[in-house]
Amino acid sequence: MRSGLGAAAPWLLLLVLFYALPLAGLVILSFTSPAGDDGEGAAGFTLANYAAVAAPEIGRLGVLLRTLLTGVVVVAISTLIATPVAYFLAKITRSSRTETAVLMVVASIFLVGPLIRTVSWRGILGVQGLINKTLGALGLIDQPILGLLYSDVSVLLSLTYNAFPFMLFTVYLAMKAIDPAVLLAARDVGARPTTAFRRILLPLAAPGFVAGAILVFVPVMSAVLEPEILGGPSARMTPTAIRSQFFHAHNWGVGAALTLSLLVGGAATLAALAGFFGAATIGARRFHLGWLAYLVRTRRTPFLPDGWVGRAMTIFLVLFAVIPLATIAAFSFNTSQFYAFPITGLTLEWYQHLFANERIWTALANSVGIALAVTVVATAIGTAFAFTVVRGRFPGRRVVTVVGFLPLVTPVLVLAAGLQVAFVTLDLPLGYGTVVLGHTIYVTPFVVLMVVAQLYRYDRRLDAAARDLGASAVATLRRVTLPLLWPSIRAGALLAFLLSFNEWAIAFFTGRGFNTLPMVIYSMQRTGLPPAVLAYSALIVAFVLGVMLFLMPFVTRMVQGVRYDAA
Amino acid sequence: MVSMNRRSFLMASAAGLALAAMGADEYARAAADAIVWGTNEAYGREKFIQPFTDKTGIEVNTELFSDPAEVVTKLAAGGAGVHILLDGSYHVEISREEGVLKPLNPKNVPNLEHALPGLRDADGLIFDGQRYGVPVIWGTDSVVYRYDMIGHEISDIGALFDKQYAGRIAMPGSLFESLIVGALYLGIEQPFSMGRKELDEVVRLLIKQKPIVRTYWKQIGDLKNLMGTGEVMIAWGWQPVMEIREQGIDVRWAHPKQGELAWYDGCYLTIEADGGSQESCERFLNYLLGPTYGALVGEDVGYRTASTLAIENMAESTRKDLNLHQAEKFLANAAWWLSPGDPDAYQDAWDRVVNA
Repeated sequence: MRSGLGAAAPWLLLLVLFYALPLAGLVILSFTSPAGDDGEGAAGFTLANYAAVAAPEIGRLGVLLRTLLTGVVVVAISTLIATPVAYFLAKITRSSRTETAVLMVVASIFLVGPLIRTVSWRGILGVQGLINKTLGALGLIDQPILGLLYSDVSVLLSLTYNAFPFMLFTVYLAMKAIDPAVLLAARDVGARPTTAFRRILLPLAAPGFVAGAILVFVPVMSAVLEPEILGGPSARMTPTAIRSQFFHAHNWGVGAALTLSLLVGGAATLAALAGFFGAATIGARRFHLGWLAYLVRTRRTPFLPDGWVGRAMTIFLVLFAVIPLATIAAFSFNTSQFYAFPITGLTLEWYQHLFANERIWTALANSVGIALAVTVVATAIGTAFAFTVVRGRFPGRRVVTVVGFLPLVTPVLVLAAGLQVAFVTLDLPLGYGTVVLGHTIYVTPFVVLMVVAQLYRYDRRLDAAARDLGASAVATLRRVTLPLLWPSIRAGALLAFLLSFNEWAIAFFTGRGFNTLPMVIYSMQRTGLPPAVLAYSALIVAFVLGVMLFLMPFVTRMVQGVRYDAA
Repeated sequence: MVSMNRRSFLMASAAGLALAAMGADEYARAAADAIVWGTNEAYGREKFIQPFTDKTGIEVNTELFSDPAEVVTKLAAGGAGVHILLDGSYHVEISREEGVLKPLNPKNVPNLEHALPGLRDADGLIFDGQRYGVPVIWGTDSVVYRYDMIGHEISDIGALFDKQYAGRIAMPGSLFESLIVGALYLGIEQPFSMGRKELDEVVRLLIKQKPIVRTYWKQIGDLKNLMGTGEVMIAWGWQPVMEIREQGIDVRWAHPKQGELAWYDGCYLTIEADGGSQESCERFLNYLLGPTYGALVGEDVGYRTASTLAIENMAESTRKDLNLHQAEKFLANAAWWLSPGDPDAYQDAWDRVVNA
């Protein structure tokens, strides 16, 4: 099935209309000197804004480099903890219930908004947090360890917590799609488990690693909450510096130069990371296809190495995912309003406040409605675009691919303000429609990435076989290609929903006269997040997990990627 | 409540699926009897606004922010649809220079004469002889500390720079406030209009202080948690942090010899308030200075109102808790926290501190 440039048109059109315009404005702004204070001085070309970024006495460049390095470290940690678990789930465990349950628990992290997720670490790492209190109770420490919170440790931990599921899901999907017969073949020719893992499984899963690295790295380039809420006095990262320039100093020129510096630095680091993961995995491919084809046909004993590492890492990862959620639940029943242990008493007062707070429920309805609309639109245009850039044959395909991903590397706050400018310039009144448009532009590259990762691994011979058997192009797409790609498309759709549901900046800048749930929660944070917000978070996680457990057989099939009607 | 949620939900979905700007357009046209107030969650609760709507029939929608600068940026970009902006004395000059505010007609705000005299015409409300805003809420900033952990009274800002509290000190991380605190400590006379040399002096002081600072807090909610959990024992804080005393925490407010800061939050007309909406907005501003709003906010959230009518309308216990019976005496000697004269220079100075 080959698609032309036409299928990519909706996404490219949205980008040209609503992304290229503000991006061009940003570039111009970064090279423009402001008019004089009296309004008479003409704005002109200048490099002063970039000089301000590079000025050694202010140290902005150092912070930029530290931000990029932080992104790389988070990718590295996420890869180390996600790979054995993805391998265990995709290739070792035979329990589909275990597989589904672990993925559900990890996915539930995203049901809780990023602000609440981040704040929850205070209850774990603080002087009255879970770790210090536990170590104290065991007699292992006399004084609380101060370095756990308001330090690089807490920032890295929280950034990793917010990002590692991306790596887990993409690598899991990539490994899941690998035919077990390939591993059987390796076993047949005497490959040791580690050799097979390193030289066959990893290379074949390379697109998953590359997609995961991008999805983990990108949010770090927009991270404001983690360093602000959990960081020490030197925790600043570039997104906060950008926000200060745009919002507080109102020095848009320096803000634009800083944004573009981050964008270029981020894109270069991303390219290096993608290259590393590609080279580190694909470069290890040393097998001969004909040899492989022969071995695949032999189908011998299943290749199942001892999975104790994967099992242990899976338990660790589940605990890592669950503990912050559990502390949120614990504090939602606590009589004290502080994120501190021990629990001083149990109460349902915060749940009563929650149910009495009409603003939260109205905002929740707004957020769900917008997220559902975004999911439908972004999944459709993102999947179409993915097909085009992977299978299309047209000049400039690489350029089109890069352009399609550009919103990914733009800090969300800047993207939000830029989208507002574009909507207003194009005379689109701000409202629900513009928020959906804005979120679509934000989340579509994520959908594209999920689908592209699997499309690159897709065996085109399956389509060819279908065509040989007389299927039309449409029938092949509908009956063969899309069903095989469903796991990635579904994952992309889920991601689109959750990203839209939790997004604050674009909703704030491109909406008008209504509030989404993140807007309400962010504003509440100003005076202190009330425990009713924790109660809401605990409730939604419990509700969704409860429903999913109830529907476990169906969910298992969804996760397994088996078509429901084919069962 | 259920029907309201369902309506919002359906509106959002339908508008989104169609990708139709039409819905938003109709919303804008229907806004003749509705205004939008850019405010924070604590000031903009429905129960505070409802009495106004009940009386006038004017609907007040809120656009909730965590920092007024967010709305200013949105207004500067255009089409924001926000008619009234809540802004602080520490920021409003910047907002005005961004060109997002417009003068109001004081005749339509008769309750202005009932504003606390020390606040009625404070800097940041009147520019070039024209009134732009009205004061609504006010408060103070100073050194706050956990008496139970420190064990004695504090009366000097120098305690924030004392190594004996290393690792248990928090400083403010927004609005350049740490620069102002440093300036007060160094005895700089004009903390809001420091020149390069004075800023350099403050930057050196704050960089030297960094190793003993646990964190720079951004929101008052953060500081409440920092003090409440004992994560820090001393900080430069805002008055609402004292609410944690209700939880049995012995946090105390210092009156340092170098002085303390006072601020107010005012409400301002934005450039998007025009035609029919301006008059509705001015009626709402008048309501904010009437007997109801300030009393409700004081009792529910614990913030101090700028309205004498509201102070009279409060329970005696609330008035005492908020120290409002001595408001005039305090305001007569307050050092007002204003926008810095050169925000770029202050931003650069603050960047040098946090990037060091």
